[in-house]
Amino acid sequence: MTTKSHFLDYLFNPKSIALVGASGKEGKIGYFYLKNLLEYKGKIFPVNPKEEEVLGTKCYKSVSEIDEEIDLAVLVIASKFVVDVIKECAEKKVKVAVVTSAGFSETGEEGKKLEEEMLSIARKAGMRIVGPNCFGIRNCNASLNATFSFEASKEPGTISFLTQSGGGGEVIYIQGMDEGLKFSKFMVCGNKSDLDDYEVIDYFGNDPETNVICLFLESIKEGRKFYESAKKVSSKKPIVVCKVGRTEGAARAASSHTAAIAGNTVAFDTAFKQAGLIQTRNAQELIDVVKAVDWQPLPRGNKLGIITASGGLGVELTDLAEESGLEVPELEPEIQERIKALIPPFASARNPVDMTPIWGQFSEVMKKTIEAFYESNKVDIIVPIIVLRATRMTDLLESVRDSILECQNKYEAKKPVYICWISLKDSIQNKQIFENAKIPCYEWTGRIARTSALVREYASYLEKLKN
Amino acid sequence: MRGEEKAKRIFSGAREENRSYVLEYEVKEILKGYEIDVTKEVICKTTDEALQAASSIGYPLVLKIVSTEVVHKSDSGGVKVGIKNENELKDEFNKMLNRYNEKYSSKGLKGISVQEMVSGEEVIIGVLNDKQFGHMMMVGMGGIFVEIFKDVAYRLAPIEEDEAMEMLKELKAYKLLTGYRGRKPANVEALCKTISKISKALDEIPEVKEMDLNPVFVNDQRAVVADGRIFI
Repeated sequence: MTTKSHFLDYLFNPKSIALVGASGKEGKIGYFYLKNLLEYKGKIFPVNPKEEEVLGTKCYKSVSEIDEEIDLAVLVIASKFVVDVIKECAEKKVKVAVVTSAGFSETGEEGKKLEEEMLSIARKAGMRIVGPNCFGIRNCNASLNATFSFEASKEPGTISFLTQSGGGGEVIYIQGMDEGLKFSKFMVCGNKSDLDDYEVIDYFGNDPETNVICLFLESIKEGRKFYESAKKVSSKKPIVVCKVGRTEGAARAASSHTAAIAGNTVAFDTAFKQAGLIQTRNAQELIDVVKAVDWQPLPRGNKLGIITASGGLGVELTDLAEESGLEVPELEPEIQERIKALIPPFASARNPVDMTPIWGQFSEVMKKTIEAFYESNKVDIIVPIIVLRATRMTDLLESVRDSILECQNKYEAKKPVYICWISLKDSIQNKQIFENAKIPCYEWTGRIARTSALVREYASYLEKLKN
Repeated sequence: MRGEEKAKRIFSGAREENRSYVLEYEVKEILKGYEIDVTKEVICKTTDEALQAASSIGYPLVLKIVSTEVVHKSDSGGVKVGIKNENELKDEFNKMLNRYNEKYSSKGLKGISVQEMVSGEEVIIGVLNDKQFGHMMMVGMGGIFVEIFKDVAYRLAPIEEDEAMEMLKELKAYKLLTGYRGRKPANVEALCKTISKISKALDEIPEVKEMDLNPVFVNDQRAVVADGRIFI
């Protein structure tokens, strides 16, 4: 647990929560929030002037009626009621309010005024606001789910996720969990009327329960502060970002040559790169890269060691890797000799190691080749390609997994292992044999090449910082 | 501080004249205040003045029109390079003046700049002021490399000299600076110093919206800003 020195501690580890707009009627938004919040270990105070009791819990007419201190207020009410409730919360000295309500600056001038009014009340009282127009927050390590989605992580995790978009963010969260990611903190920032990205990045940076920071953003309000915070934090923890949407910078009048050459995403790309962020092009890449940095060590160089039973796919991966700035170099002669002794004379030990479909010896060849890769100076990233028939042979998969784990324990040089996985639907679940052991499986070669290149870029950024 | 004071004075002068841009000689004044190497120049009203300037600068020379009416000098016949002697100087000086008077009013005319002509690889140094991220530096090799290939690198300002070096190394045409095909290697250290100095100066002159220093000539001796514009 973090010490209560930061206002975001009141958001992610509140002692008490007021849910304004709580409802006992199934189907109402206030019902979903309440049901989720009742799972939390802290005290929950449902508020609704029309209810006496909701889901077996006493319901309060108003926030001021609650006679205990409130750390966090979650507002699930129409926008027209928000200002009054925020006033009450301010008087009650609530620390943070999550305003889920839509109908603010995202809708136009009227809404913008409402948002400003709400904000000025909160500012005067020193209360912080998340949102408005936001889906909520989660602390998966404390069973806190202040969203209306029943999807919640059951296991503790180390990935903290800040998203601007509720829907998009939720999809990444759920899909990520389905892919085996374990989240720590989840936050939708919505309109970012008060709380801004850089504060959350700073907080995640200092949070002992966060190892990897994941961002899905549409806009950035305080660019310089974002840059400064991200730069500081990325030297300690990887920050993986997917920034979607065009900027207002697009409207910049281009009177100089310089401005005409620079496109409207140049500032973002430049700032992200300079701050050491790992920038992905889309949500799928975001999940892929987060998985790689959360589960595997960072590569110390850009050289891939590939072992495959399919020559063609080995070559395909080699192409894609080298096009992404990685290398697939020929192995040292002595390493090649060791591998040659294991494979048929027509197979190749150069790299990619093409073992050909010798199913009988598959386990043995994989094990010895992975060991050889660990001992080779020509390999920084190890990629076994596992396809079709092999994906159905669970004994084989388990033995490959064990060989990888054994090597990761045995060898001083930490080398990440990413599996290139191609299976039919009937055996797709078998990739869990690897993923449960935190060895990521990526379907097809493109995702491996892209992930490896992005992770390597971050690793080399860190190396440069050290020198 | 000298650069900052000069800049403030020049910017307010431009505003008084309702200009959102700063003329080449003014840009160079500001840069000199930050100890950045710029081409020597004298703004002359007459051929006599030009001849006198030439004797102190030395041939070959460049002539450029200096007028608040002309933003794109070369598009309006306002640039002549490679002036080799006194006769050419007098001749071209008068021709340029005539070309100008045919198209523009004499109100904006400040004279003709007689400048030293420097050779070397052409580099462009640019500055943008992004709404969200603030001042950014852009560096590229000049001419077709920037025009057609958009071979440029960016960093948020300020940057140190080693970061400027990284920017140069990101350019596909970087090899042109390192002694490609028997040319003398350019003084990239001097170029990096210039880039870094500009990036740091921006903190004192936040009014800068956009800046083009184009071309900056880099040879084996120096990195010299030969032309520039600032938009405020």
